[in-house]
Amino acid sequence: MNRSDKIVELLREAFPEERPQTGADERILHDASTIMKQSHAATKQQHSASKWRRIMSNPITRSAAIITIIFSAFWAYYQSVGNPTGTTTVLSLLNAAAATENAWFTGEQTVHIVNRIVIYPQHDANDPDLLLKNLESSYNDANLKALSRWFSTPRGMEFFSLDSKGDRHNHHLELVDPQGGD
Amino acid sequence: MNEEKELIRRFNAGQPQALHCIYERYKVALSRVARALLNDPTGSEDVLHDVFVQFATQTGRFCLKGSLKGYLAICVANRARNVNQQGRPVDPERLRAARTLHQERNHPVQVAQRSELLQTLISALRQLPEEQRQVIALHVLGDLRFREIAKMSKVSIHTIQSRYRYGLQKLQARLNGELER
Repeated sequence: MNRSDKIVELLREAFPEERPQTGADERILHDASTIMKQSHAATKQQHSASKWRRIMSNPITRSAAIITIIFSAFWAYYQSVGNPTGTTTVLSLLNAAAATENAWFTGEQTVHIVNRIVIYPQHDANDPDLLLKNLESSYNDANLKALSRWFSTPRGMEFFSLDSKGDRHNHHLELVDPQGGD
Repeated sequence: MNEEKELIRRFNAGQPQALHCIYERYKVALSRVARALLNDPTGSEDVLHDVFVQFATQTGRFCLKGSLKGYLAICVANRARNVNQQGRPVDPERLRAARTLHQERNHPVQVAQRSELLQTLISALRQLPEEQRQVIALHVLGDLRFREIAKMSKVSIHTIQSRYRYGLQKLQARLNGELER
């Protein structure tokens, strides 16, 4: 055994294999396990957020993304410059809609407007009692026609209203046949 | 090696049992290295504590090329160096008590004959430059190969071998003729 071997042997003897004390074992394992659980939970949370970062860590992907952004910026710029009015896309659409509307109403096209008609009853206009009274007071063609129209009209809607005194008045809404004239 | 890979996989999966296995497997060797490198060997448990707590923070992203034992031993060596650099005063009473305990427990008969020699050797080891002391402790007490130490320390293998050789020569010179006895 040479001198080096002797020193190695002495070193091993000077520092024999010793297990840490039980208390130390427990303390180390407890602390390390706690830290490990916390770190693992934090790593899990970061995992989803770091996906994009990991994708972008690849230089090829990063370069492709930069090229795409630059290309899109140029394309958008030339699109807006190429438009003769020089307006943005939304304004262009509004202008086109306004021009179409003007063309419809100034030209010879037929424009159908669909609207909602709100009917308000004309007070006592078709009240049969009133028609009878009118006819009794002055017997003429107009009052007679009004009463006969009330009887003979094929389409209509009966409804009533109450006046300020609470008296009921019956009404008849007549729908005039456009083919039949009066 | 495959067993180590499996342990690391389980460790990265967040299984505390894997951490326990790693600790149980390497604690003796790591404790030995820590005791050899610390100026105050009673702090070896604190060094182990710090190293394993730091190791635990790497769960989920730990990646290793090489042996786990080598990695942990280098961590212990670095931590021991930091503790030594902090220059905590060594309590001579604690040191004496630790040595006496160790002597009585392991070598009750021979301790009287070899005590002086071992004390001289330990003292000589503590006076070596940090790098040489580290290589000797990792190679002799941690059973790491020179190549492994070089890889983990990111130093060439020739440098590591030189440090070892010079360190041993200095120890021989310190012990002088006491080796012949």
